[in-house]
Amino acid sequence: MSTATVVISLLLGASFGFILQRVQASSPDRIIATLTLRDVTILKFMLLAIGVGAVGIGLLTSAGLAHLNVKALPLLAVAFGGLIFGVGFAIGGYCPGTCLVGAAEGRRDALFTIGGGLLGALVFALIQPALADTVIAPLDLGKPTLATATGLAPGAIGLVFGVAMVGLAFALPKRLVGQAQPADEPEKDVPLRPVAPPPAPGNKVRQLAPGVLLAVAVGGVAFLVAKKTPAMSPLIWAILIGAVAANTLKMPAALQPGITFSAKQILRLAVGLLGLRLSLSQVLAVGPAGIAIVLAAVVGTFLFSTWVGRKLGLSKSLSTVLASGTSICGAAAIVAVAGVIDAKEEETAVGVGTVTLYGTLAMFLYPLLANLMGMGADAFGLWAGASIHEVAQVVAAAFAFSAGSTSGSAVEIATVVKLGRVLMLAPMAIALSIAFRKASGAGGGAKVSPVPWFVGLFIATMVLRSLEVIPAATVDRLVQFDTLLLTVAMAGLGLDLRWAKVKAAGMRPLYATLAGTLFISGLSLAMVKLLA
Amino acid sequence: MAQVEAARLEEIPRAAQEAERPEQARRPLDWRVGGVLLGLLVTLAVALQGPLGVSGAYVRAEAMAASWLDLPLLRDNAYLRSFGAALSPELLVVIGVIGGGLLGALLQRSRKVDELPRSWRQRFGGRKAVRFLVSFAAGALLLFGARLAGGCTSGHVISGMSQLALSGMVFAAAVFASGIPVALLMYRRKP
Repeated sequence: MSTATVVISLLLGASFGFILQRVQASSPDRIIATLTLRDVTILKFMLLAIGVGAVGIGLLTSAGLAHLNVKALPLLAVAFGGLIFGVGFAIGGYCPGTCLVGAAEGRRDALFTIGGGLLGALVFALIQPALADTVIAPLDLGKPTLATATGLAPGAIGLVFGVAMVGLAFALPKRLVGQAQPADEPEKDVPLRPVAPPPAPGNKVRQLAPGVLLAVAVGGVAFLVAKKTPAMSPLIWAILIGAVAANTLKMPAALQPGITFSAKQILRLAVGLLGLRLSLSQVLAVGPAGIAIVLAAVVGTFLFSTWVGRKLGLSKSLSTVLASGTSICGAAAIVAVAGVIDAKEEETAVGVGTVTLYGTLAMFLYPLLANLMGMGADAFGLWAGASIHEVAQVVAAAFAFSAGSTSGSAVEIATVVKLGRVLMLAPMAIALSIAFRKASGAGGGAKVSPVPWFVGLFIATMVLRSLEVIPAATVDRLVQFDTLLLTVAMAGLGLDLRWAKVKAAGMRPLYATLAGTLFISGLSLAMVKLLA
Repeated sequence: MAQVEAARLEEIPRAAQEAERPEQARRPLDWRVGGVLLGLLVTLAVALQGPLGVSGAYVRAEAMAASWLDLPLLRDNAYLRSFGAALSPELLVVIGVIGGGLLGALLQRSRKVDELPRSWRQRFGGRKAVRFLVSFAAGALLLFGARLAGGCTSGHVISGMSQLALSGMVFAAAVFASGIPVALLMYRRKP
């Protein structure tokens, strides 16, 4: 055995033991709570680990990098062994690995479990020859896996199975029997920021000017910084710089009206002008398979992400915002949908932050994974376009995949497919607007149109662009102006952000978005493999 | 203000709880974080050398002991011989598991653990000898079952199912099929 093997084995084992200790899988109380179905957290932990592992190992297998060691299935032996194991598992509350960790933690009953384990293993060794013919040999089914049993590619079925396990882990309620305990994490509503003073009637421009000017200044800085860092868009810099400024400096109250105006009204205008970037004829060029993939990915991911968000206890509006960002087009979709459903500002900011985070990770990981899987350029373009969050991230990933050449078919296909997803913004925004209006009760806002003005503007600018009535140079200029508006709006959003409110949302938006990201990635990969 | 008061109200029972039940005062790592980490670890293990497993190491430790003590057992028993008496990656992983568990416990603020599991004490009282005897029997059942099936929770369920192995799925189903009713019979709380 080489030194490397020794070190790697010890480190793998140590990480394993550390994780088991930290999730308290080594506590018999936790195992017993799981088996009596009072608190199945440990089962959820196992399912999630299996899910993540299945996706990871599936990818490794399709890349030919896996050191698999599939165990045989002598049906009788595995079934009887499992039944006997289950009895020991239930009465003791340990398994062969967790009792080692328990003993290391100082649990004396774990030491006795290890002692019993050594005896049990020895007894088995002694009578194994007698069992070999009677229990082990008959009904030996070889070493089947889901891949060999179905004949599907291990990578694809690993993804499907893994995503299903992850979904199951999250869907399973913590408590399966008995009455629920009082919720241990009550919804918090943190009223930390003093409410903005009501706008005094009078000179509106003078009220708004200070805050808007500050947002423009932050946006300008963001633009300059983004020039030096091509991997990060000015939008992200604007929200970052704004948030840092707002949480480290003391903001005079006079700035507030302008900041709110930037984060709400300027944002809507900017989203409305997004349509200038879309030409229908371009979008339709992806063909029927591409359109099917886009439709399924957007709708499926939107529904799945909203559901996961609600399961994790996020508010309806935050779940919807996160789902839109994951399924349609990142930050722009988030702010558009947030405007339609009247999400809180901090929810919008949390959404932009998490979706950007995962989109950026995907931008780096996709080219690597695709190379591991030996994907072709067209398939990669479809996959990246159908599942990475931001347009910019899609393009960057496709560039990286085609090793920097701009002419590769991966870049073209990815961009067009991505634009197809952006196109879904209009129908989604209208549908959500109607749905949320119904939910909030028909009374009151009967006068409000189901199509918010900026969604109307979005459709109008898209039609103008598709008809090709505006000269291309003018379109370019307008698109630049729109990016500027978006940056200013993001600066306003950042300046309006209070850290305490973000913290109140906790880690749950991160988990919800991770689930959504894995889902859209897995779903579109599976569909690309099936359809294209 | 309201928060400060709420925190103060919470503090009193928690302190009392900590004195009486050191373990319950500790919060476990979020299962979502732990699950993702373990999934990545399993993937890493398969990328580097092969899936993680634990129960085989018990047999290998015995084979090594038999060889070192020069017991005739090893020579006579084909099953032990098939494991061999050399130090293997599998055994090193198990040594690592113990070390990692120790590290995790040492890095914790409260290192105390319950002498007896709470669920046990509630049903069977505080006599340690009984719990230790039952733990020993449970360990024997665990490893007999695991060796008969060819793996345990780590090798069959976590690593096996991650590799899409049907054996892992059959094993997991069997474990819960007997584990859940037995646990419910033994530990169900009286209403």
